[in-house]
Amino acid sequence: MTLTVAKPAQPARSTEQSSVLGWLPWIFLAVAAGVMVVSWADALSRTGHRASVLFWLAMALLIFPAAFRLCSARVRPGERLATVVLVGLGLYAVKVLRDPFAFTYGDEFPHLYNLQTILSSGRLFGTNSILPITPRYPGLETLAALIARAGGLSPFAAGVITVGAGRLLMMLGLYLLYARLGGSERAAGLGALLYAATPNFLFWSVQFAYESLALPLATVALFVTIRWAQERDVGLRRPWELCFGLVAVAVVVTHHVSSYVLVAFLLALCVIHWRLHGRAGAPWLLAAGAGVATILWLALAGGGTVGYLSPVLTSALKQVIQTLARETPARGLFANQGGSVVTPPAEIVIALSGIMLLGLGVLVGVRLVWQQRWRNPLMVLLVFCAFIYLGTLPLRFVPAAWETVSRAGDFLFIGVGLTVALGVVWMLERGKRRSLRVRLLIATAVTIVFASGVIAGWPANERLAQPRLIAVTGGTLDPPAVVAAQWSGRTLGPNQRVFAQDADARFFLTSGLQTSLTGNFAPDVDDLLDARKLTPAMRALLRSSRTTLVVSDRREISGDNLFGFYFDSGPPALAPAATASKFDVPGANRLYDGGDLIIYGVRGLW
Amino acid sequence: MVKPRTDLALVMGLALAACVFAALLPSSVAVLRAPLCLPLVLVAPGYAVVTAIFRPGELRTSELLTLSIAVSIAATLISALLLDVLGVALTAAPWMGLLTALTLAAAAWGTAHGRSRPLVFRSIPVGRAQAGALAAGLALLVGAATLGFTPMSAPSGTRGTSALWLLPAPQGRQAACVGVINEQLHATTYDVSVLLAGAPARRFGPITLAPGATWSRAIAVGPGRPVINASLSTAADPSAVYRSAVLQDWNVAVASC
Repeated sequence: MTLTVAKPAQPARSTEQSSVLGWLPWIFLAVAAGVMVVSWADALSRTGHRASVLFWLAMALLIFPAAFRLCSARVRPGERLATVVLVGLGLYAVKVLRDPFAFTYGDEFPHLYNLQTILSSGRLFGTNSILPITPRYPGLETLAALIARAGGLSPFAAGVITVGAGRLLMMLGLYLLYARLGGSERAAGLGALLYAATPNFLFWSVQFAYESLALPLATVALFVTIRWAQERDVGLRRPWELCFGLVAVAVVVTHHVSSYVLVAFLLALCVIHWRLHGRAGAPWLLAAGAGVATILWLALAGGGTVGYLSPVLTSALKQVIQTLARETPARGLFANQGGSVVTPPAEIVIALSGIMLLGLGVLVGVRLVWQQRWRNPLMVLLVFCAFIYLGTLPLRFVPAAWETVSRAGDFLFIGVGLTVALGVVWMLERGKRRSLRVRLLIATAVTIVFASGVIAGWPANERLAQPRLIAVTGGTLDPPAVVAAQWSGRTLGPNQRVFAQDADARFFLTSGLQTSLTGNFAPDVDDLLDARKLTPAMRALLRSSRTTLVVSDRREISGDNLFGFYFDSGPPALAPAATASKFDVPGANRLYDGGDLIIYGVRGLW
Repeated sequence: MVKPRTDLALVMGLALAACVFAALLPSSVAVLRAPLCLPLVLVAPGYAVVTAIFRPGELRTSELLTLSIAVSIAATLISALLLDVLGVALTAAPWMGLLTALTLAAAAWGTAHGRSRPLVFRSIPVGRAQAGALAAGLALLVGAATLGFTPMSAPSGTRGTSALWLLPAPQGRQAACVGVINEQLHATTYDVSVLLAGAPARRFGPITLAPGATWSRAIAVGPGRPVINASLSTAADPSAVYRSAVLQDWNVAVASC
């Protein structure tokens, strides 16, 4: 079996410091300082001040000292691993401190609702009106439910701990995978740190959503595959097979795409192994096991998955073709969809520099792998992933493909991390004579690459906290849409069928426990809410969808599931008054008037 | 026989303790309950299973830790699926009981097969500067959490609002409920007027509400389910209708008001 040709990593024999802890206390101090600075920046942002300089200072504190330390050859493996874990958790704290009181990402609401349903009903596989597929993959919410039950915690706190466990697992899994595969603890540490440069790493990958747990589990499954392959004795492989089976099942019940990627990855690994070394010794058994579990789950529980994923993928593919044929305008980079939020020029320079450095790192790493590890199937596969990642970057110009490419990046970057790290280690070894200068340069480059990922991953004005819960005399206030949603649940009871704009619908789902319907696809809620006249067809739509409440929110931000979850600062942009007043007709009850947000009882319009 | 002072004995003790704490400690003391019970969810079952199936010394500590967490998560999910299939509600008692049973069984099997390891506590030398760095880091984290989890006052320009609501009383009573929610950033004084079938019926006020405070009243409306109009005005501009609500066809299912 030749799945791995590198020797298992050995602990470094000499250390720069005789202490067991090495630089760890100082790295801990730097990470803590970074977390403190970002907390300060968030506090300023929540009170209406600009704090982007503090944000970047925090990022530098979190990454640069760790990168510099990990470049050193003389660090104990335990210190390297602890450094990587500290940075991973420190970066997770950035997201937690951005949203310290409630989940505010569009996808977090449906998952929170699933968790609330499990806690209230004690059953899995409930329903979800916003993302119907999510209850069919209940892994994340199930773990969070037990954490809430066991710890006596709120669903929000349990969710934060669950995702934190996922982040811890991700850093551990990446490090162990890279260490085994690259045969170098130094490459493992740098690779795991470089993985933090994935554009989604800082925020999106640690939202309370299924991939945040499934991807770390899949990474551990890959590590288990490597360890399985390293055992020559069939008997010694059994425990690894059992571990793989358990972890693969956890991936399968947690996230559809992650399970498909895991199976595809294992199959590709088998094929490459077959090509390079013959059929024997490839992880056919593991691939088959994961494949069978995935198909069984798809058949027994995840029946709607194909229908859910196929429009996304076909739309992305269509737009790629249309963009190549110049039939569709390309998506503007460094700006949001409407172009209202534009990335500052300095950030654009850093982002482009980071991409170039990353490309350079991949090329150096590939050259090295070509010379030394080209017979290692998994290494070959990871290098392919690194190339594919670079190849997908131009697809960010295609509006419909952007999201797919961005999400695929989380998986493909596993290859980028190790490939670049191997190249970096090679450069460090070549620059031994000017060690300090080279380490400083490389730590700076790693920080720039990380910053580039942050810039590409999340809009500039959304990286710091917004006013979600504000202090007033004698207590706190939630945004008006949350108060309206809570009122609906308290007075009208749960499970009302509600038409609402995107952001409001999510509040009504989780704060009102209502069946929220939103968007422009079966039923076309947006069309009904945005129209200035109530037509007979709209009444028919209300009847056919058995809608009991319509939430008319004239604030245009209420349709934005990225920015629509906070207090308004200043007068908001409003839709025409007729979009709301069209419901002031006989048969409709104007039940709740909160100014821009009005709740109508529309059963009489059926 | 389970030997005391081994890792598997410790895991068995932790699992049992977590189960007992979860049963005895109320949810209101999450500060105590969470650190005591969460190891059972996130580490103990996986540690017991992994230690039981691998030979001693086969795994590095980092590998053991990683697999313990991953297998614990898997055990949690698989046990939940099993209970759900059996029709058992996913409440704390059966779920934690099943995980504890799994942990105890795996630990006992591991002990019987010589997989337990003696507990060895190594002291880690920490220099004065290192201790200082650790203490300073801890202080910074506490400061960051304190600052981060404290609600701040609103930025200038933040808009508050007020809401008026009107509902039929529940259970078919010949009454309606009217209410006000003050979401302004300051205390506000309101007047509420109610018209029954177009005629003035009730007037409430002045009602002064603190930020976040609510007010509601039930109004008898008599038979016939008349059209009800409610309007809200503020003391700052009493002549203007600030909010309005209308109950026309009473076709609203109400849980409480």
